Amino acid sequence: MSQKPHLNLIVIGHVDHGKSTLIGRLLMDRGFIDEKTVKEAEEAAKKLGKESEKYAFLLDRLKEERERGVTINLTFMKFETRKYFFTVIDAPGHRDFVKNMITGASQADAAIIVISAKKGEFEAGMSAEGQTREHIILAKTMGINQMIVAVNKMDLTDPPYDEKRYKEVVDTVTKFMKSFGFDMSKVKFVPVVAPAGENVTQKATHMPWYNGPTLEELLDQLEVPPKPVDKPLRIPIQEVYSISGVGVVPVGRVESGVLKVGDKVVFMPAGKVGEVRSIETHHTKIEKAEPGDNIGFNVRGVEKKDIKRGDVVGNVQNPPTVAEEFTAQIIVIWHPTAVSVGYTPVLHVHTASVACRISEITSRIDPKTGKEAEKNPQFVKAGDSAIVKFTPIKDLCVEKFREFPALGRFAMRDMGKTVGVGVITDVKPKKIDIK
Amino acid sequence: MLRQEGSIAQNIKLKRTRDAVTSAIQAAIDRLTQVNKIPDNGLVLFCGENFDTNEFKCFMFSPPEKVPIFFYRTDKSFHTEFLEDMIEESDVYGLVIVERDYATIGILKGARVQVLEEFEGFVPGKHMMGGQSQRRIDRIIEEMYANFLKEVGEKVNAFFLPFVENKKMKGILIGGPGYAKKDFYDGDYMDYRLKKLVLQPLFDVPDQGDAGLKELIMKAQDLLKNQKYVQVENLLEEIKYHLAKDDGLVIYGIQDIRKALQMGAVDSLVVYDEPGSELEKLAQEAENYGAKVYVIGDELPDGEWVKKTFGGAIGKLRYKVY
Ligand SMILES: Nc1nc2c(ncn2[C@@H]2O[C@H](COP(=O)(O)OP(=O)(O)OP(=O)(O)O)[C@@H](O)[C@H]2O)c(=O)[nH]1
Ligand SMILES: [Mg+2]
Repeated sequence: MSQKPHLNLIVIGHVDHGKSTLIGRLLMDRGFIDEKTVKEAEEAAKKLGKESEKYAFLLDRLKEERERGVTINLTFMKFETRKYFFTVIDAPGHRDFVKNMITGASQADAAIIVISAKKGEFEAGMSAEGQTREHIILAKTMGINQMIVAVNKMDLTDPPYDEKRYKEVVDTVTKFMKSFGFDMSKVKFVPVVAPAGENVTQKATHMPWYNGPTLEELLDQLEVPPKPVDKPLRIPIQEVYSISGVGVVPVGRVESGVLKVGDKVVFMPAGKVGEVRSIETHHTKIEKAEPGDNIGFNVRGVEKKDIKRGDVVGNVQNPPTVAEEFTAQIIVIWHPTAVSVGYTPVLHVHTASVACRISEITSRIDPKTGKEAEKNPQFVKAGDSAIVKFTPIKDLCVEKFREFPALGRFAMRDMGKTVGVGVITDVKPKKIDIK
Repeated sequence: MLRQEGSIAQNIKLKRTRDAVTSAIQAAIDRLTQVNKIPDNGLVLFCGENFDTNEFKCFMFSPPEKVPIFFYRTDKSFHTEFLEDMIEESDVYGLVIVERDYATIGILKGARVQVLEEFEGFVPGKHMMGGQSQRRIDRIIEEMYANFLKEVGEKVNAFFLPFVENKKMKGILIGGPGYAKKDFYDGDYMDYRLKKLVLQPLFDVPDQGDAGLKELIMKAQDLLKNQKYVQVENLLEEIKYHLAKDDGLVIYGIQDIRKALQMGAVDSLVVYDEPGSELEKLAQEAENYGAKVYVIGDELPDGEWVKKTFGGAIGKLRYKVY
């Protein structure tokens, strides 16, 4: 593997705004996709009469994705810039697949948000139901602070390559991101045309009014987040493979601690112990993995049925916490009526999504002072912040935000919409036998 | 027979379990000796101790319909499955949520939504692959996807056909994220008798499990207008809306509700199910006054809220009373 520092990058944004196309173009320009794959994608696009989508086909490989022209599953690819080694995660923009996007975001250090400047498309993404808006909120919730905003489809503005439209998009998005607490010095904007590669790796020929860096140059301005190597090990599981002759291979990103070959690890909530036989990242064997590494690791002693997405791996001496109940401070960002005791949204924490019942609303918090405004309110509504207790409907691993940020923040979703976000302040652990 | 069971119970190794079983059997015998004639619908007897609360409970009654079988069991929990059908509203809707690698099968009966099975198919994603065998792997993935849909179809048939056979299945709702639901419906994965019952359209539902089933029902509410679940959920949403707006159209507290009833101001009332309580009386009174009354239990997400926060009764008013 490359000696350059490693960053996980997710590409997000409203459906059809050009995420897959942009990444396909970037990777192809720099030769990170082999010839054969490029040919295959071109042919497949031609066959379906969708030649314009050949770049997206480099990432959208499922039959379902190609025929329907949308991304469904996360795609992980690797590439390098001058300064960094990247794992890039192409996320789906379709509203039905927001849960896949959240899983990806929980594993990323930085994001590119692709926003179409085309009339109507930009507005759809920023509407109350739009995913430009929702993805920005979710990325922030999952701990992403560094963001590159790629204002795409500049060839389709009216008139084409319109600087005024670009400014309008930048202003609207800036306002919205500020209201969600982004530090705007870590957010960068660039106008692009994905299929033509304008401002991707090469300066645009049609936008002389823009003198800033290209997308690729902006990638080199990102910063590597600190690595909590001294903390106990935590790896939320993103997927599990069972490979014949090899055994079980869970896949996930190390959030804290260090994993070494030979380590004894425990899978929670199952409580199963196994021994790490090998670790690999992007088909390269490594001896140890650190925070930020996306790894697949082969373990002896556990079976496929013992592990699933959303489980967390830790050391036997300091296993991940399974919650009987936990306390969180939430903000209700969208709800048609009111949130009350008994309300059971789906909580997305790290790679897990589990329905959790609100068993108590301890207090409503005044957003201005951060102090208690009302004790045990009957309900809270959109715009309110509150301290609540959740009881997970199924076993769920969570931690206090203060101790393990990546495992202590969550999004609340219901009826296909994000209703709120929260951080965990306290966890009442459930006793799990370790076997 | 119970005496024989009683002596077998003496062989149970764990003292706590042995004592519990023995005393349950003894309690059953005591009650049975008081009965001199078995009622027409048969007799049902449950006895046992709850280890968590140390409560000992014994119930004996004659059910509203004939008990279909003779059944004796010593177990961790009471076997009520043979009785459930008697109190259930007979309309059943089948619920299926399907996506590429995950599915939930459930049913809706009256106000109860139940997950029958939630399961994952091992259809891999994309990121472990690349290079030489890319195309072959892509083909294998498509094959695994088709196999998963087949498995879902088989399970749906096994769960739902019995309901069709006793004519209780009113319809089937299919939902899920994206396109898998359409592939599932279009392909011949379901028995033709079930396929005929599928209500259109298919619904976009992003979640699985219990939460997904509830979303599916609420998205299909126009098709299910007469289902109690939908009616109560909508009423509670409306109540919350008025509570949040604080416009005086919501009433709670038994005294206040009674007053409003007497004025004829109560449009509808949700009452927590507590047999023999003041709440039960209130529900009866409200019905006499012509209000729409919904008795709910913990099967609804809001049951606990109504009970804890509002003392078990909350209503929507036709007009402001003060
Ligand atoms: N004219 C023009 N078309 C573009 C541009 N970027 C993307 N497209 C087209 O927009 C369509 C959608 O592009 P995708 O890359 O699949 O979009 P996506 O954001 O990945 O979509 P999902 O993953 O389904 O959310 C394709 O037909 C692209 O060819 C652009 O800059 N200009
Ligand atoms: Mg895409």
